[in-house]
Amino acid sequence: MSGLCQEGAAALAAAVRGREASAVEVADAHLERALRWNDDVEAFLHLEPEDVRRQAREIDRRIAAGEDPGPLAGVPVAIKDNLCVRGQPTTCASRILEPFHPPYDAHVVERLRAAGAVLFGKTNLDEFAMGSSTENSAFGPTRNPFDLARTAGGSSGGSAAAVAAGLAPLALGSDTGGSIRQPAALCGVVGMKPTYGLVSRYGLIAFASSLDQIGPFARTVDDAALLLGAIAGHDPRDATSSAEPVPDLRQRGDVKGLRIGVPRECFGEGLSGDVRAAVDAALRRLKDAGARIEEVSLPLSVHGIAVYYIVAPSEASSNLARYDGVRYGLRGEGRSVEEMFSETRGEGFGAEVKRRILLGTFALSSGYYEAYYGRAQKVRAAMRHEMEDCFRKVDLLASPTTPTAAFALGEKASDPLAMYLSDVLTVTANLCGVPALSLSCGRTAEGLPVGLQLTARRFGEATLFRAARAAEALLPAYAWPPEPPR
Amino acid sequence: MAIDPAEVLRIARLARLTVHPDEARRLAKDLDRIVGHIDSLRSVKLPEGAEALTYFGRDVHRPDEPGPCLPREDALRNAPMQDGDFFLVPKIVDKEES
Repeated sequence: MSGLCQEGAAALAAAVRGREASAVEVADAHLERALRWNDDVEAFLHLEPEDVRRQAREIDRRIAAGEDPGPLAGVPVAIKDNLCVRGQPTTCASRILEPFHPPYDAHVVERLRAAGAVLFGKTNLDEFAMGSSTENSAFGPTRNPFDLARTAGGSSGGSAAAVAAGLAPLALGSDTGGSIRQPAALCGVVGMKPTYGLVSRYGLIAFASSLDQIGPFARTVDDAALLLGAIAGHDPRDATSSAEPVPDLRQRGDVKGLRIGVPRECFGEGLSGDVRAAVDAALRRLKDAGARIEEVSLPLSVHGIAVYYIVAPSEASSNLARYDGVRYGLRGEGRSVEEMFSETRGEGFGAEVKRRILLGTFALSSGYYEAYYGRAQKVRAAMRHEMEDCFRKVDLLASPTTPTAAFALGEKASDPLAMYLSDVLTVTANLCGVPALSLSCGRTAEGLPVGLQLTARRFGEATLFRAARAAEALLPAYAWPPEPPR
Repeated sequence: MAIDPAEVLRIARLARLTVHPDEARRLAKDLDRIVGHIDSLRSVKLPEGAEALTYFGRDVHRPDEPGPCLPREDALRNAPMQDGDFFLVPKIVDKEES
């Protein structure tokens, strides 16, 4: 592997700003590796070498002219393909958006350009971010770099796999019910979902608007903080974007005296022995380093999946009404406009998206609204209060990120409910709007990564990143996946 | 609440989604299991008049002032059918009705 692909984002930006490496050299090293690996992992849906090199040349030109391009100078950042990049394909891994080229950049993409980053291709996902394995992508699944027969997780599986395999040092994903943290855990990298409102959703193609957040993937906590710092902050174009100051993401310190709650509900039925062992070992190390580990209880969290699978599909059924064959994307045949709408959607959406649109339409339909959507919103409010009460007693929560390590491709593809349950430990953070981060804490007997999830109170990112840095230092360092067989 | 293929077709019409009969049978089976799971929420005890969480944060209104918007050409560029000024769609109103 080229040395440049082993470097983290902070080191690459420093090298480019210090003229020890050019942005073009950094881009070429990653392009060579990404193009070689992509046949195996299928992390990228689109990667245009000439576009990447053009951006890198521009960074080098600015440095030669004495300018500072910014904190991500020349750093390749892979972008999940549900984020709009002006003029580039943005498909959401759906046939319905296959022809779509957005006429504008997402807010986070504008911020990356302003920070000197090199936009490095569009990564694979479950169609419209609905899924936990990327098997719902209309263009084929991403494979786990640690075992190509297994899933990289989802929905941001392409971003997780790209960072894990060194195809890009950083990537953006989106997390509606665990779609950053679950693939991060399964691929052994750091993945973080910010507090709802910390990052503008402008230009993120909407799935479930009260749950969606954009967040970073990296191989280290420092690099994840660097990327989050570049994209966080108020944007008037997203009405839910917070005007609060961005928390200090650079804090360092030990875990002495930090009160870490371990919710007993996260260690129930379905948790694999290997995952439990790795997480228990990580908690022991935190305790030995001075953290106060205590058992807590979040009784309502056991209803998380039920609440999520009412709220998210309901919002999705409304958000996805825009795909009607009129303004963009695919158009089906129809003699009347209504027939054209129905044919467009019937042809353009895959099986899981149809399931969720129908589930959401059902939950919102006359006669069922109060029993399903109305009730789910009330349980959600109660869950939020329960979480807030818990954070009066502890500074952070710790749990496994996923109940099992990476499962085999095909294992859950025909059982939607089993697939939904793989998000059982991550949906609570979305429902409560709190930030959560997954970092690798060990391996299973088969060598598959296991994720430790840390959760903080709303806008508690300073504590979250400080604790994650301290935990990272106590845990095994990042270990690369084996090189591809060719 | 049991979901059968007829119910799937009723919902699909509401969602403007063409669903073929064999697809409706599969979807009915899946949705029935999922709704069976989410029905567990009925057992959650909530206090009388419990509040609902619709969104986080404050109520946001911005001044109703015109700002920058997409040029027409850019807005039309992705349309499956357009004539340079408008999006084109199949006829909405039949002659007999008008």
